[in-house]
Amino acid sequence: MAKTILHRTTIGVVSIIFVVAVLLGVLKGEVISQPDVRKANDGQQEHESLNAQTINQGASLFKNKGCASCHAVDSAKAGIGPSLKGLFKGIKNLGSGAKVTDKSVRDQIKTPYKNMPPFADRLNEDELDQIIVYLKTLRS
Amino acid sequence: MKGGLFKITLYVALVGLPVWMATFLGAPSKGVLNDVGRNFALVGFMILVVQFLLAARIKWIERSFGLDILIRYHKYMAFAAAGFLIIHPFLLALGHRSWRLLIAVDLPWYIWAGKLALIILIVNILFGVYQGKLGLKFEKWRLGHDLSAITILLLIFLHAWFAGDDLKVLPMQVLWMILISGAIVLFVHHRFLRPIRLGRYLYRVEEIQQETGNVWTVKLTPPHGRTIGHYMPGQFHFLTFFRSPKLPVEEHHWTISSSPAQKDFISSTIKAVGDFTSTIGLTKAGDTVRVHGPFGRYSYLLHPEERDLVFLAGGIGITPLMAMLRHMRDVGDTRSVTLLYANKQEDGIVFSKELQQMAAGKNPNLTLVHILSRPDEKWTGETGHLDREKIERHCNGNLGKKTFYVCGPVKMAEGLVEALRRKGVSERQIRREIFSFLD
Repeated sequence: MAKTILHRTTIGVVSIIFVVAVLLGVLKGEVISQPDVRKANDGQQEHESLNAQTINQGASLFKNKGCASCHAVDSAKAGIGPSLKGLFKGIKNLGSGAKVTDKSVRDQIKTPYKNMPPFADRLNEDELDQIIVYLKTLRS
Repeated sequence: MKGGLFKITLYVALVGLPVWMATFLGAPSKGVLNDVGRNFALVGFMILVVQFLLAARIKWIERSFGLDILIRYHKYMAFAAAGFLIIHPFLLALGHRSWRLLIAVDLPWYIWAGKLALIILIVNILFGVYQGKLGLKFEKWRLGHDLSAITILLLIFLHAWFAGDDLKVLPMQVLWMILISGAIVLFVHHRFLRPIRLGRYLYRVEEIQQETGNVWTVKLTPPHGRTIGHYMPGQFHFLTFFRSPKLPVEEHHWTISSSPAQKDFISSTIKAVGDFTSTIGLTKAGDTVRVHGPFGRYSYLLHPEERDLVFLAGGIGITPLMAMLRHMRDVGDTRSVTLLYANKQEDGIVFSKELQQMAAGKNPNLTLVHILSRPDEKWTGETGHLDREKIERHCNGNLGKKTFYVCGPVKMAEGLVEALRRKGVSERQIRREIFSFLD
């Protein structure tokens, strides 16, 4: 009967799609592409593998999304906002007094302390990750 | 299922396409949970895009399965898409080790767009499932279904475009553009362009004939210079009646009751049961009709080798079987058909006279058995319900080599199929159409 065949076919098709989605997801990390720096999210892991691509993406976001118009990165002089030179090198705290961590920097970007405009709408979580990775590369 | 397997394979390949592309071209891996979560989103989106293809009544696809089956499949795949899409934020949240994505309020707009799309999708599915119980009119339901389908598509497109890691690369963006424009083109074609095109060749109501108290046959003739397209007996078509301005203009599907062996007219025999069909008796000769069809695979012509048929009909379910019988008569087919035809009362039997004449002739070799559940005293034929006992008796206990065509009210049809299967009749021997698109 048509209905039974239909049920079986549907179950078959959905199972195949399910298996393909899971399998490719698993294989992607294992075989196909290298994992990136997602773990920056937590701020706990100090030893992420920072790859060049992410740093570049972070740097270009920094320029293009408007961070660079207020913050210097290669001179210690303040622009409209404070310089970010050596931000993660333990020299100073954030304007709010918070210690510089992944989380505090992320919070500052999304819901800033003081005059800085919020960037929560302009940057998604991954872009935030990339910017943070880039900021970590800034020397003091 | 001619070419069916190929088309099913094509479907799987199509739904899997964005995942394949994202795997090799998309964003780098972010751990298994994130990767699988993103894949689920891609798959869910693609199923929804292909839904537009399934629902667009494309003949090339329909031919292999029958539109009734295709619409059912469309419905089941909506559940599958919802499943994948609901699971994906949970996987992403697990992958991020943060439940913010699920519970936080201060999320970017494109995350909310995705959530909204998911809510509309679920509401849409619930309405599809409970349309009957909610007493929602088909026409209204369909409008809501169309609008929400387009809304979901657009929201989910934006959500993926801005939130999706894999959508940061050009090939994926190109694919996304092609998919959304394809879906919109199909929708516009199906709902606007094709009706306009078919509207240029309106059929004319030649005659409307009362068969019984509430059953009417509408005979249609093609416009000047056009012929009736090829169809198989047992197929159905969509009709939109344009009648007096006071009467509703709605598209519904009915079985074709005429035999394709005669080329002068095409007819549907319609029972006045619903909101719309109750106005069918008010249709007048000279009214015009938009015809879209034929569809379906419920026809003996697809199985010419089967020589011993049993037709099990309940009430208005006789129509596709009648079309087949008429066709057998018109082409001089000699196969054997046993028709068990259940009705409440004698005066409710549709096509009573014509069936009697057919049973007296040789083409086809018809054995006609009427069964009445509420007969009057004069009735000498079978009484009660059409059940296993009566089927066995009239088939002389030999069900093995026969093919059964079941058509009637859903409960009756399901009961009969169940009874036949319990008697060891194989699925291949039972033909049934799932005529109602919704229940």
